Amino acid sequence: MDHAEAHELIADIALEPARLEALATASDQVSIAIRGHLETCEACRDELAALVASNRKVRLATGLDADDQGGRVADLAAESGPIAVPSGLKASILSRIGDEPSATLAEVARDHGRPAPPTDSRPPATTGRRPFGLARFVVAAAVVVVVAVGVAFGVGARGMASALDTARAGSAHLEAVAAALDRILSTPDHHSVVLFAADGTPGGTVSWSEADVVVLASSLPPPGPDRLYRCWIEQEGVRTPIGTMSVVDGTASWAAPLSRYGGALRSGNRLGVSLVSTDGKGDPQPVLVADL
Amino acid sequence: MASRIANRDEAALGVVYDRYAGALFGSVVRFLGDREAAADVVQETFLTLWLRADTFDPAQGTLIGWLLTVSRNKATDRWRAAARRPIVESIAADGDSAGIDDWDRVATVARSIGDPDPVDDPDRAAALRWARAVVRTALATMSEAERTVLELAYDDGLAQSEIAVRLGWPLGTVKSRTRRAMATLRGMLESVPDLHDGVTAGRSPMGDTRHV
Repeated sequence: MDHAEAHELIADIALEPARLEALATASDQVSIAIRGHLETCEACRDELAALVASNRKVRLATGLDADDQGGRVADLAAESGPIAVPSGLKASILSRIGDEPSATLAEVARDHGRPAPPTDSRPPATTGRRPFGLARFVVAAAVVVVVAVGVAFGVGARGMASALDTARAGSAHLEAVAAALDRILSTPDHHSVVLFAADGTPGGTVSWSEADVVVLASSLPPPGPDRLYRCWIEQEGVRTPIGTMSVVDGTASWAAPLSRYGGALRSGNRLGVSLVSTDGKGDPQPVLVADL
Repeated sequence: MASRIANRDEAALGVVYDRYAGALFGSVVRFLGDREAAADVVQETFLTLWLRADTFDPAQGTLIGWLLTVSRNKATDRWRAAARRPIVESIAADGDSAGIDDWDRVATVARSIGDPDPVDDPDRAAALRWARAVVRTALATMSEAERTVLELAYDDGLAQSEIAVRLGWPLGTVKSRTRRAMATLRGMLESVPDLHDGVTAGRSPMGDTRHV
């Protein structure tokens, strides 16, 4: 069986979930021939694996996978009426992408002593790189993310963005933080969790991907002499310090490679910020906490 | 289309919105149960697309799969935050661990709809809840004919030829409708993590196949 023939047969079998599931063990000639082809064709193996995975997700979603006593596609379909998208959502999105990022990028360029890019500037098609440099872009991206997360929770967003905006000028530290945040953003499966103060007020964010973790907070007062803000992770009731935040013009931030902390950033653990004494005396005071 | 968006083409973003906003919003509403929060998530998702469209690789999956993955992560973070916020307040107030009243509430709801207990396995619970939301949304966006062939294929285990006989449709029609319905399902299901891989899968649904 050649690749084209196998590919065509797999496409047909994919239309029949029961047959797809049975392909690995079925004794008919076609199934045996396909299995023979799979032994030498990585592309077909990958294709088949994706089809089987998708098939199983449908079964899990309907509850068919657990014990064959669950629901059916028909049951899900019956309870799945249309849901209308809010009428103003598109306009809101286009407004935000039309105004906010452009303004921020212009400010970034201005802050770094370069002319702002024209609003209709386009990156070179061959590279996709912005014409005004990665560092400036990532700071802008960081601002947008901080705003987005803050707005999502309704409190402190504009203040947070403003603080970050002000603080970024001349701050290598903050640019490094922004660069880490940009790397986080570049993965679609990144996470952002809000840090809450004791009164329930959102006061910052923890963002992470597979490679980086960033903690940002704009609500914290100056730590004062001989004190600093320390980030920690709590696992099974045990808190482990992971880093000290730098405070630049009212914005406290900390960034690090995630690899240092293994699997600590996972559900069930907590990440917090405490105000601690530099001499180690006295009880640390948790000021922000996030459940991961 | 993604490359046009990466080049700051607002019209292209509008086209993508028109094509996929319904699937995104429907999935997130069904996951969160909150239209306002879902609108926020969809808005953040399109902002992410606007900023990060250059990271989308069509060789690694579909655009709707990419968008739904972004939405799923944002929605899951909100879902967890909403469930745990009172606990965080308690922790911050007294510096000690608190009870799990809110997780109990979430667990009760989850069990009532057949989800796994989020206290025992919150990542898997969230992933299954998302899978259910996505499949329901996909079904809602299909034609009646597409839903019918899917139901017969999945629920009754019928072959394409048997479906053709059952419905009195030409075999080619059955195949084309099934193919279209399954393409819709599979594209959207790219956003569902591998549910056989516990915590890691819940955290990084596409880490093995899509480095962007």
